[in-house]
Amino acid sequence: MAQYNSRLSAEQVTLNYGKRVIIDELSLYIPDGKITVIIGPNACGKSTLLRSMARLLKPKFGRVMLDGEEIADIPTKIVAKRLGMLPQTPIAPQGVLVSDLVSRGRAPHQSIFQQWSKADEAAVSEALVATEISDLADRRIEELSGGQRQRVWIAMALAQQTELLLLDEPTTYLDLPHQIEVLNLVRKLNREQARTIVLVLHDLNLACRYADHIVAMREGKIIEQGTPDEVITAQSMLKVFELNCIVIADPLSNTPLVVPAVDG
Amino acid sequence: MKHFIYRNAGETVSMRFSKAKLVILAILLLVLVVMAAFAITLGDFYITIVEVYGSLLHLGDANKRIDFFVRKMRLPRALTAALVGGALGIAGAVFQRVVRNPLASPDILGITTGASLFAAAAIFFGFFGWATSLFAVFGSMLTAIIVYLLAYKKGASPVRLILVGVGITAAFGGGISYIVTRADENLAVMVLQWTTGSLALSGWDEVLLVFLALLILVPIILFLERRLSLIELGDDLAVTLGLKRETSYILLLATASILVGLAIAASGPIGFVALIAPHAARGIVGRLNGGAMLVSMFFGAILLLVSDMVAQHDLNISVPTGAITAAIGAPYFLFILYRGAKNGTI
Repeated sequence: MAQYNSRLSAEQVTLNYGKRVIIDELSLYIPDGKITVIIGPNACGKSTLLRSMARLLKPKFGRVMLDGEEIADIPTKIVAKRLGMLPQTPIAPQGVLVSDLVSRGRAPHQSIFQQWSKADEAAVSEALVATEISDLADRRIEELSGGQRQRVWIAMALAQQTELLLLDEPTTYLDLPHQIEVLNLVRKLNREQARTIVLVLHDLNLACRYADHIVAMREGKIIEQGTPDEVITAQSMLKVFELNCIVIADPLSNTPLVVPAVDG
Repeated sequence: MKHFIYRNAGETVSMRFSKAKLVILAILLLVLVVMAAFAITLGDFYITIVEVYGSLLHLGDANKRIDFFVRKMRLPRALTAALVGGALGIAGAVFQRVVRNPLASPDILGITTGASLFAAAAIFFGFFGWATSLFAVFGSMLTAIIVYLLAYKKGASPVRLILVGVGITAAFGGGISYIVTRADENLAVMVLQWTTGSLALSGWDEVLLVFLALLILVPIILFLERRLSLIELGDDLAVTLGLKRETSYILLLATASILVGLAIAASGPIGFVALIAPHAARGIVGRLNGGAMLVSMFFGAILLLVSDMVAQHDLNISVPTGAITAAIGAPYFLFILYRGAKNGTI
């Protein structure tokens, strides 16, 4: 067991696609109210782990627990009120309006007769404001830039108003300023609304800046986890990524900064 | 405001309707009524539109001859066309949204051919009339189940559904040809007639059948519509937002298949309406969410009504309605393919 409170955890999970075992008996406890960032080389099982924690992939062995119950046993709509997840490449239906897409985040709170409550309206407009896309509400999703689109997806996840939010590489395809923008938003949600957030990120230095807790994976196993200072060291980078580097202090945030060696 | 919002005290009921879509639905309904009345005026015995309404609404003195043509002959045919078209239009929209592919339709998923094969088999074994229709409904449902099971592999993916559907269409099409070659001449002609799709034999039985089908199944589709708007986001997001995935796929495909089966039972297979109507509807309202599913229904109704008018009156010889929908639908289908390939949306 972890030494901190954890509403969401994977216990001894084995995850596979067909015959290919991606993760073998892994346990992970997500700390409540913190930003957890999962890092690791491509194909190390980060996204697979995230999908299983969002009940999108059923573990072959082991279990995923949410609030003390096995997630597979909780009705999916109840889970959807507590746990949100943004996949790596979500599909936008053609021609959909931004406001319409964000509204769909309200689905778990709605039913056949309760389709547009005041709470729905408030949650959608709050989500639009938080992601600064209120003025895009009537635009079609195809008309937006990659950065704007990503904010729309995050707005949808926000409108869902879940206390736990899993984001699979929310900064992929974004240029650096837009990456920062998305991560600042994530931090704001965590700090101001105390949401528990789990991110998969590729950029180690940004991971160090924004994470309270870092999980470093390789080949389906957790190699290190802890604060950025504990996890991001020259030694662990060699173990996790086979990367020769030095780690210095980020001159602005004082968090670890990975500087790769010149000749690898 | 672009929406009417209704909420009762305590918010046990809260709804939102797009004003623009309500206006479009009202206009389409009006167009449909006018077109239907116009369709009834046409024929060797010409009846004015005033006489048509007079006969329908019992205005003035009854003219037996006009009443006969309007009520016994032309009204049931026009109504069957509109109802079958409407059923295909809304069912087509369901298929396209469940399968997340604008090319999906009961024709392509094999369901139409399944219904035809069973109807052909019924005729071959000497079951006519209502029995043929019953077989058609059974065939569409059974085919939907077969396609679903064959496409199932840890959940039915849209692409697999289409591939299996194409295979089933080919196989069942072969089955129909086999029945035609084995049947004696009269039965073979009947099978061929049935499998071309025609409204020439529609009477009040057909009207009642499809009307009841729409009356029961359209509310169910509207009830399930919220699931469609989640399915469109892909399986991962749909489940994340609380969708019971398998149940939803099965409910939606079953409802749409039964509706198609009942429509086909009344008219025989009529191609392309289920494919084209949702596209035409999207051209007007953008997206088919919520009540906009009804826009696809009205487009299907108008499309088939007009096709049937052309089939009956505009050519020197009377041709099956299915031939006209194919003549309109096939080029439009190619246009959709061309445009989709160009924007990379297909």
